[in-house]
Amino acid sequence: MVLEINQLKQRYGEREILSIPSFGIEKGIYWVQGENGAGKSTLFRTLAGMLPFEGVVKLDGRYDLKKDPVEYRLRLNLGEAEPLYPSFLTPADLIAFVAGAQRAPREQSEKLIDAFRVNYLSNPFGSCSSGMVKKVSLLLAFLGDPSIIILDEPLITIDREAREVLFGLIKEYHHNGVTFLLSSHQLFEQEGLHVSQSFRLKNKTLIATDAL
Amino acid sequence: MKMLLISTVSAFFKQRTGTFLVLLGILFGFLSANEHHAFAVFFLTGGYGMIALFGIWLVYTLFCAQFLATTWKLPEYTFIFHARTWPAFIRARRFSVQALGFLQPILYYGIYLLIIGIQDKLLDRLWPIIPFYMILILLLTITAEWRIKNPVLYVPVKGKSIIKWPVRRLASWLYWSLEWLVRERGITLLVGKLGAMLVAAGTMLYYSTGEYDIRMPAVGMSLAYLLNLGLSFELHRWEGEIWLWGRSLPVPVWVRWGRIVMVHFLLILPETLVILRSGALHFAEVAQLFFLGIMILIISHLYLYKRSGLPENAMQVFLFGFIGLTLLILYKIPLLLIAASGMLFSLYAFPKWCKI
Repeated sequence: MVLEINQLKQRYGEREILSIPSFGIEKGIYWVQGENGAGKSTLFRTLAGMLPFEGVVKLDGRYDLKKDPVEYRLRLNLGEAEPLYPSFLTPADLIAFVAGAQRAPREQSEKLIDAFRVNYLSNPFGSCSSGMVKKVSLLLAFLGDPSIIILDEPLITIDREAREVLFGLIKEYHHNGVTFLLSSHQLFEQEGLHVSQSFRLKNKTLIATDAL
Repeated sequence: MKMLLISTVSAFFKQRTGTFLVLLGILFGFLSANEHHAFAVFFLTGGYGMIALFGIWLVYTLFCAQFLATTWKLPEYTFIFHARTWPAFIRARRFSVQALGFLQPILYYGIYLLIIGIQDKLLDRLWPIIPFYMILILLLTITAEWRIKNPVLYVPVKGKSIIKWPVRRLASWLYWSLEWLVRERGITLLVGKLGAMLVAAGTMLYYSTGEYDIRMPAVGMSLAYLLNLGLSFELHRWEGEIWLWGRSLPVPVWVRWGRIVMVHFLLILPETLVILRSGALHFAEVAQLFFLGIMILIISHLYLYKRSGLPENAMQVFLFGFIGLTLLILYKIPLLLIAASGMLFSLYAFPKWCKI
């Protein structure tokens, strides 16, 4: 199993947002659907280690998010739906920092910068449009040597060129053995992506759509 | 009027927090009361005293005028041009009040000069500051009026700087955390540091009035360091809200603990320099107080993790904590022992209380 979840519970105060008794996926490209407010972003943030939770989350059958926080995070990248970065930072600052943390070679950063055409490296995020910020967040999600890349609503606000680059990268990384968890209100098949399975986040848990 | 003060005057003080911090550090930390008095007497009685004073005030006012002229060009300030619809008299009055807002530091210094004038019987030498104020207010009012009548808007696509720094910006969490405090939480930083530095200066003033051992400044400085709690809370929010995504990065627990220690280490340097500058304590004693201060803030910061922010009854917890610490100090428990025990506890508790 690339990703295993057991007895995962996520709460905001007294309100329970997620309660997933058991979930597991092998290598592939997975589509996670759900209504607005169903908890998709909370699930992704939990899996990325951004929020405290109850339960067990394991990667590649051995890296436990709680017991091996560094090894786990090195292997799971998240591109957020609406990324927010401190307004005074520049894409160059952030890419250099994340590349260092994810142990990504310099050539990889340069290749991704070229691919996404991030030619505004010295502009503070405060003066970037939402599409410009989104492209940087997608770039960051491909840095390092991840086993899983989670892309939360990857298509919103980006232009057609960036969309083509994104699908090209997904296909390339998947070919190299990377698993993707994608959430979107748009379909992926028409972009030539073969989705292994779809899940719907309903009643706080993940259910395979063919089981619905 | 309120709109002008919030959008322009407050923005000025927020964005220039770093400069004001340095100035405050110099004024309250490194100049003694006698030196302040000597400067004031020079301004009031020296041959070029008043000219020098006007020169300094003029430089500050030009600094404000430059800010006003460039800030109102920014796209987010287009609303300010509605001021053109105000009748001329109302506009002049409002721009004058805005000018007074900008000139607050020199107005306060004028009050200090007035006190020195009364105390040293030099009141008859004080009158030039009134025309100075009028000239400077007029200068800022004219600048605002000129900008309103010359609306040049632009969208900065690429930051252009006259100075090209030979080194790249640091890609460092610690540097960004402090940069965020200075840029985005400027007023809190200014007030937090001013409060802590004043309590530190007061503690050392009291210490110099009698024969006390290290326990007296230890209690006083514990309070001064504890006044950084507001800033510590802001750092907690930075890590948990503004830079939340950063939690998804692979950073070992001990590095995260080290970052928190380092950021608090730098945060409490100003008041520590104030007590070092006072010269009443040896370096080794100041070092003990400093480590005690770091320990107090690290434990307090960890409590924020445990409770996921500042709960309603937090002040009671910090108050009882302070009382407990005071008792430990008064019972002559060595300060380094208290600090080391607290730091060891924080190392133990960090992974348990910070469940990320």
